[in-house]
Amino acid sequence: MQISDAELVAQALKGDRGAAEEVVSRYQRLVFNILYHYLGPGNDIEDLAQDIFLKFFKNLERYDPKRPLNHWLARIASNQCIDEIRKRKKNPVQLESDLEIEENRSLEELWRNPGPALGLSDADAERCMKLLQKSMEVLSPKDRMAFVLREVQDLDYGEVAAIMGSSELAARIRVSRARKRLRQELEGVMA
Amino acid sequence: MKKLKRDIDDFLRFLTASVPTKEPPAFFASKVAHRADLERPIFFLQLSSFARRALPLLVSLCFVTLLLSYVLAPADWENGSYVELFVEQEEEMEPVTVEEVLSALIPTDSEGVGP
Repeated sequence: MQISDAELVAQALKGDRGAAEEVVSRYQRLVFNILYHYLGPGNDIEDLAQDIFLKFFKNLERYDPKRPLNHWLARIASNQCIDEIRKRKKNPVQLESDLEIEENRSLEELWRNPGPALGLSDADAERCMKLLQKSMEVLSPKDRMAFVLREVQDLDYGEVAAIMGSSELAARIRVSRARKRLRQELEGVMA
Repeated sequence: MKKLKRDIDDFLRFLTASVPTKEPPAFFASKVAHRADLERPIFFLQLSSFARRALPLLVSLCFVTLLLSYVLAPADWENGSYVELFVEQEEEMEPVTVEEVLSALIPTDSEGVGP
């Protein structure tokens, strides 16, 4: 029988390293993918994920066992991502090169005519990721997070709201606003 | 126009569904647990936040008091009177009468030099 999150946290608080390791094992994929999908490739995801877990362990005594542990960890990750993107927004954004425009057009082709192959190649998946990242640059940090949690991580609105510390309605508005802005961005790519 | 909007929505869905996922590296969990273990607060850091803030203040206060006592009263330290403060003061002698002095100076019979 799997030990509950609350019991694991209680053991980790007593200094049980095995329990701490189990907590990380359970939620490392969640944290890695929030960071990866929000910030995109080319960032030091491992270092950031490590910082998130260390922050989590430092504040472990403040954990409320009535709340899901994954929401709390996702919230720390979400705050870290928003801080990172705010820092990065101070730097000038790269302009889209002709080569990238060509790549985006070919992605559209791929979507229209997927062909007989099952799934995308790694290179095509990487290109999808790059195009999505590029398009998401126009979103505000919080709208971007709501969109990533809902549309990429596939969480429901209640979870998005709990992670972002907002109401469900606010989460819905953020996702819808993000979709609208992304539609406008992608219109340029597809024209 | 409506068709285009639906097309874009579909394309957006295609993009979000196609993004790759990131797998954590091997031993990530044990590495993090080890670091968290090393960074566990030692005993005085486990005090309440009030105590944590008060402790350095208390230490600084002791240091400043010691420094001030040296700066403001250097003579006491240099002349050794600091030490004297801790020596018990001798009792003052009662006033002495002339008879007492004489009787102390003139030997008595018991010392074998009497008249």
